[in-house]
Amino acid sequence: MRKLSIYIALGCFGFGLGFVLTHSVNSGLSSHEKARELTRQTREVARFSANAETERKGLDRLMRDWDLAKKKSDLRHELERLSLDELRSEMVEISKLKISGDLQLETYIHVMSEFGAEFYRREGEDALEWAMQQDGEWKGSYRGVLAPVLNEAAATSPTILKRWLDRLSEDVDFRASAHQFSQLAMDRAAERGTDDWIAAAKALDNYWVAGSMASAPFYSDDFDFSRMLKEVPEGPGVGDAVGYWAAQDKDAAWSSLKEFYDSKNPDGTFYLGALWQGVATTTESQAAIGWTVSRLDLIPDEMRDMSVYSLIVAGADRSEEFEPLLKSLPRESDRITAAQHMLETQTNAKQLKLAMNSLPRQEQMAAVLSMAESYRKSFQSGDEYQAAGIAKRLEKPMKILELSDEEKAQVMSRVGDP
Amino acid sequence: MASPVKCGAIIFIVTLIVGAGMGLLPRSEGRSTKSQATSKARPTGSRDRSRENRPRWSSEDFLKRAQDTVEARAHPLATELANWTDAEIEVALNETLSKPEWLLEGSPLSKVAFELLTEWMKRDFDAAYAWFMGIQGGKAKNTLAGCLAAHWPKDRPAEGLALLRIYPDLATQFGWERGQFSLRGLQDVAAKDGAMGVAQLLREMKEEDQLNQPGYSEALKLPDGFDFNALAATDAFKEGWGSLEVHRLMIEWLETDKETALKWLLDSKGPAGVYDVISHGGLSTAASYVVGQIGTWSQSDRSEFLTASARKMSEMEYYRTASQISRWAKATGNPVAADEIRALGIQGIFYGQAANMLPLLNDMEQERRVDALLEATPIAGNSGRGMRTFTESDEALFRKQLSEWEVPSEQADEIIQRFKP
Repeated sequence: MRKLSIYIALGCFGFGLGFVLTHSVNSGLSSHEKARELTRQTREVARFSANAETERKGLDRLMRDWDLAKKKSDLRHELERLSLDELRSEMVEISKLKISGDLQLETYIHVMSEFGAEFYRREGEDALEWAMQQDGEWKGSYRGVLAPVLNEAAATSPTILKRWLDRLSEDVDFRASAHQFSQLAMDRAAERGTDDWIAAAKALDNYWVAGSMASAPFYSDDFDFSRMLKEVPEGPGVGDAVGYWAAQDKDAAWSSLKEFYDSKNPDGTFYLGALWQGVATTTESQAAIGWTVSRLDLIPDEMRDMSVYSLIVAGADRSEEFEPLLKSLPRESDRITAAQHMLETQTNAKQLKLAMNSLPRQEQMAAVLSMAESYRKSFQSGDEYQAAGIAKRLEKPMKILELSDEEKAQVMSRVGDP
Repeated sequence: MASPVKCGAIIFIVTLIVGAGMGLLPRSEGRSTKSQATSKARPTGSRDRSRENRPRWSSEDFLKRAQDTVEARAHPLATELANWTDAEIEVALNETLSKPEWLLEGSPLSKVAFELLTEWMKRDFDAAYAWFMGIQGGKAKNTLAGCLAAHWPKDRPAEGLALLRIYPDLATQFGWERGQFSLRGLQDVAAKDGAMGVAQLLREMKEEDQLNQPGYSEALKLPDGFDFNALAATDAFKEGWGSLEVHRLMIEWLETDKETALKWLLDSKGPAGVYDVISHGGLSTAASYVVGQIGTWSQSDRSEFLTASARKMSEMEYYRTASQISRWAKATGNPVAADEIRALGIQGIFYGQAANMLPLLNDMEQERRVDALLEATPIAGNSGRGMRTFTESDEALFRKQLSEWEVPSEQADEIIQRFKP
């Protein structure tokens, strides 16, 4: 009996030792790492529990739910079960359904983007080569299957995208939508981080520049906006990104921007408006104007006009702030420049009038005369159509300023015979 | 017989091996090897096996699921927000206002704020609207204005338009919602004050620079007996020509009294003005009627219409107009006029649209097609917009097509030469 007990104890010890040894090898972690992992998991659980409490019916919870709902792939598992041939034939079938008009556009876009993504994940550029061959019923019908595959390439590899956009440049219709692919590539690169974003901006070069002016919807937490500004100062969407940065840390953004001014490099001079937009997002309106306008005296004189102009461009969607902005500009020349550009914007006429009324008459006249002068310089072709166009452009500002006939004649004489 | 020590050692070793085996078990279940990752259809458990044995999805299955997802994603927070009080929604909306993400195009923050405001507007429009009017101007307000415009209550059209006239920034300059505000307001005035009320409103909106760019619009519901003749006689109607509002009213007139409306159109705007009426939106009953009449016009009237159309299409570089030209040609009901309309596609080739336009010319009668190609000269617009292009691939495609049409090589060379800038 005693012997049996010893055998059982030995057996249990052996089993236990064997299990522990192999299980710890299996986990691939040292005891130190395991301890750290355990702490991390404990913290994670604690954080999650805390979040569940504090995020109850809060914005953070909505943001997380939104993210989950948008990113979750509902078709991927089923797509993975399809063979390559099945994947291809389904894509062609679905693209034909769209042509027949039997399919809702949003549904089509969703299903094809999932197919395209799966196909590209498996086949890489071979998937693109195959799509190019699908020119069936009419010239250009390959676009229906190529676009979703190219989308996935754009999302993951800007250099491959560039190669294909070059190859497709002869296709006028595709060329017209090239910026959508490059915007997607830039957006995804911004999520991955600064290095990827800069590499993508340089790889996509003119495709991206020719496209929209949108920023990315999301930048990685450690995104280095200072490097972005230094390496791709004139990129589309950089202005919005600078504004976003300024909303988080206006002094850091200004410090980076000031390097452009100090070195008299014109690349960054247009971003004072972006800085204002950013600061105005997180600061009270008048304080934001005050802080931004106070930067003007730190800018070299030759770059000042352009900086004032950038404030007006940025303020086009906050026209109720035109009046306080005009009042806060310290120099007469600033106010004339600002008023001229305000008169050129397609903004709320009532707010514009309110802003203009805050200026003395001679500054109002100087602004509209300067406007006429710039049109004269811009349109010198002598074309009758363009002459009519100039007169029409001046109609609205002259009406807002309620110019007398004599004043109107003075303005029109500045235009001369184009 | 083995000694007790030997027996103990054997038991220890055997159990050690069994224990080690058990220790390895979680690994094979929890982590897939490279071969498992690549052969994705390989089942590992009975549940997986039964799942993998079921039939693979067909196109219909994929489309059904995709449609469900699209519907769920249209308002992904709807279920969650249904449990929120108005006060909780307001707190969350206020929290969004100080976030820098408003400055990022298409940020999730702006989408979530859109959902919040939409939900609040559905429950208590006045409270949501008062909150909106009280927030500071800027990117957030500008973006949320689109939400307000998109969900503006249909039973308060006049109020919406009045508001837009006071705060034009409520809807983006060229946004679809802006036109909807305007047309709903117009419809409301028509019901209350008739044609003269509409004319007055058009005049005021013209003065305020508030008339919209033409584009797609939904039908207007005008009162029975609405006096289009009286409206058309006003300066406001004539001066608003080219706007979304007057375009929509013209279409409604054509739908109601096509002969009188078309006569007014031709008398006051000439054949060139017809383009303005039929160029936006699909081919409605009214537009089909107008296009159907083109075949009955004199040659010079048709020519005036076609030149005006070519000028305006060139300004857009014939972008996506192939289907429009095709629809017009089919609606004429006159083979000669239809071919003249299809020949607009020849103009498109000057603007880099060979691939899209050549199929249109397939339907032309051979002699008319060759003559039109041999006489083709580009018709440009007045605005200076629209850039001519004719690439090497356009040329290759064009040559191939000419050869298929059996155009003699000398003529083909002559034709190609005409298209090179």
